[in-house]
Amino acid sequence: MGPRVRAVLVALLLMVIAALAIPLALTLADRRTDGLAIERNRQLAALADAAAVPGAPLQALVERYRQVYGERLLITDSDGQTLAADGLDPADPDVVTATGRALVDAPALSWSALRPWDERRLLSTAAIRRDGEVVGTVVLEVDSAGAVREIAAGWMWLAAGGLAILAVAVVVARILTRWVLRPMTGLERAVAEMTEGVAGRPADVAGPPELRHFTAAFNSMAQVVRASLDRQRRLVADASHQLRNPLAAVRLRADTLETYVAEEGRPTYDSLTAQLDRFENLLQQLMRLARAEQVSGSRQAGLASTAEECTDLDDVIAERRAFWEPVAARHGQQLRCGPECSGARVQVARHEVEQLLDVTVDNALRYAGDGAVVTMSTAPAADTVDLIVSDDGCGLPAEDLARAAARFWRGRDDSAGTGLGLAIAAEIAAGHGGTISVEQAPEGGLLIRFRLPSAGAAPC
Amino acid sequence: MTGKGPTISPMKVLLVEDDEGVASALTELLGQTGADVTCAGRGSDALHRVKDCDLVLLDLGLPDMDGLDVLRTLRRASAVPVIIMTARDSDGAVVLGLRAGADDYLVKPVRKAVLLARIDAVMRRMRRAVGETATPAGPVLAGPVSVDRERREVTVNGIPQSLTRTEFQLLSTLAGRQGEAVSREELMLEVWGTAVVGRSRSLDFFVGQIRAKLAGLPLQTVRGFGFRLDS
Repeated sequence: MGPRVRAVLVALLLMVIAALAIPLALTLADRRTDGLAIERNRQLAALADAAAVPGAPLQALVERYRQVYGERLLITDSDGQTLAADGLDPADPDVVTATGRALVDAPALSWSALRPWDERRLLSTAAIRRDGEVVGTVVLEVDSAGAVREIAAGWMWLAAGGLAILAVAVVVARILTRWVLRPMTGLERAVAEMTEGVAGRPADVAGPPELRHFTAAFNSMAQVVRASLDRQRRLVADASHQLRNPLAAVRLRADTLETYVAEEGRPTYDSLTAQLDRFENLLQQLMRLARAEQVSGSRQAGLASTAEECTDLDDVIAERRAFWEPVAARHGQQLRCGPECSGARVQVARHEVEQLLDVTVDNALRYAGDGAVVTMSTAPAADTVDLIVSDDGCGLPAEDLARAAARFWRGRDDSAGTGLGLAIAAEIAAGHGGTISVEQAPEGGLLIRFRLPSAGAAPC
Repeated sequence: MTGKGPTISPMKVLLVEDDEGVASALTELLGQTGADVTCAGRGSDALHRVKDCDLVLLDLGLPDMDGLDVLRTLRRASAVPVIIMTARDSDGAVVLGLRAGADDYLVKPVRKAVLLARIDAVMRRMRRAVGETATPAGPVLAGPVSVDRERREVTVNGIPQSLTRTEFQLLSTLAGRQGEAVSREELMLEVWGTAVVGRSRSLDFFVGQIRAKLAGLPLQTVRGFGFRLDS
């Protein structure tokens, strides 16, 4: 919008300046031309008077005039015969015409206004009268160079003035448009930050009053939205935190009760403690999710940086494989690593990569079934690295793939899970600018792909 | 989880927990195992009741002060084993708790067997440590003053002096750790049974009394910390 406003303003101003400056320039030229004509006519009249005296030394007069004023003169008698001349050729057609006009006492031609680029020859004539009778003419070749220079200088001044005004106008227009538009860029940034869920600083309240009101209104709206987001986030953390005390009490009571449970009540007691385990597990997962959200929230707000974190994926994969191997072996499952030594490094803290692997490997081992093969691998790209965990189990129907990472989503025959594992992993990945995708594995089962920012090739 | 929990030898446990449900469950559970449980719902109560306890079970979220502050104050006064049992489970909280002087850190909810095993482990470590540092017997000599804690007798150049009960307790605590600076909190706990120093000047008053009665006693004030009895 800025350049357009400036263009319109400059165009309008150009028109105004032109409307004022052009007539002024023309008037200036007219006046200077008139001044020149009046002055020369007066001198010619004086010359004619001097030449009218019989026996006047005409040649001396002409030469003296040229010495003083540097202009060329010609004096003729009533027949057009040269009486005295200095520089002017009597045979020159212009001079002949002028002489002829003067001798018949025709009214002097008025000069058209001079222009700075004029190189016209101006001939001024006056009749020499003796006792009211025309006895000769004086022809003067007027030197207009001085006047033309003056006019040129005048026009230059006018042009300079116009340009100066124009420059001032451009600067003022720039300042004005920036004053109006700067709050807009601030607003744009604030809106963009809000869209990304980043808690940036509020937009500056500046500019014209209308924009001020708008910016202030926007800022308070952003604050309300952010506060409600915060509250929502904290609710999960606070609620699960608060649930811990009663749960701890129930757990301790249940454990204390165990000694007194009679044989017939044993199955009920066992299922009670199993449900308690599930409750504990769910609560723990909820806390993890809340924490991952908090971390990703503060990362997005720029409170914590991820740039200096660097984790070697091969290393973590090898370590987690060793950790999960016994669990896998229990059900005849196998854990495999993808191609070794890919050298992939990501900008994610080590313990968070561990969590990503734990969640996905745990899922795979739990749901892929006995004898399944789970593969962990990496696939480096330009500035991202894919961390992939896949299995050759039964997988998920296509319509469930998109929902699998949603909170509290569980497979149809899954009664023990919390439905939060992949949601936590997704939140952790998002906190580092990464993504999660759930796909059909080429070997038949499920494939979880984390796309994480690469930390470059340098060793950590 | 075994049906019958292991019993822990009769000991005094101070339970610092503001949640009544958890507190009563723990009291019942520990009571079953033969422990004598005292409950404190507030941090300041805990500091008043900590004397002669064998173990402190500390919750961090207390209504009057942060559990970590209770722990820090307690640590200046006593080396009693402390197990933190709380809902805070971030790595940072665990590190802070252990650094503040806790012997172990448990996150709620805790299974009974785990809790008892942890208590056992902490107590075992404690007993081992206590066995190593037996307090020397016999009278303690400090300048012209001799303090015989068994006979409850204090002499200056061989002449017996009469001290009040509080004065003697104070002096014998300092004499027991001769050459070491003893914090105000520890003295308060030993003599008055509370680890809260507050704005009380009574400690300074009694120290003044002791200095007046036992001329030449090398009892130094350690500024900002407590007192030290030199030899």
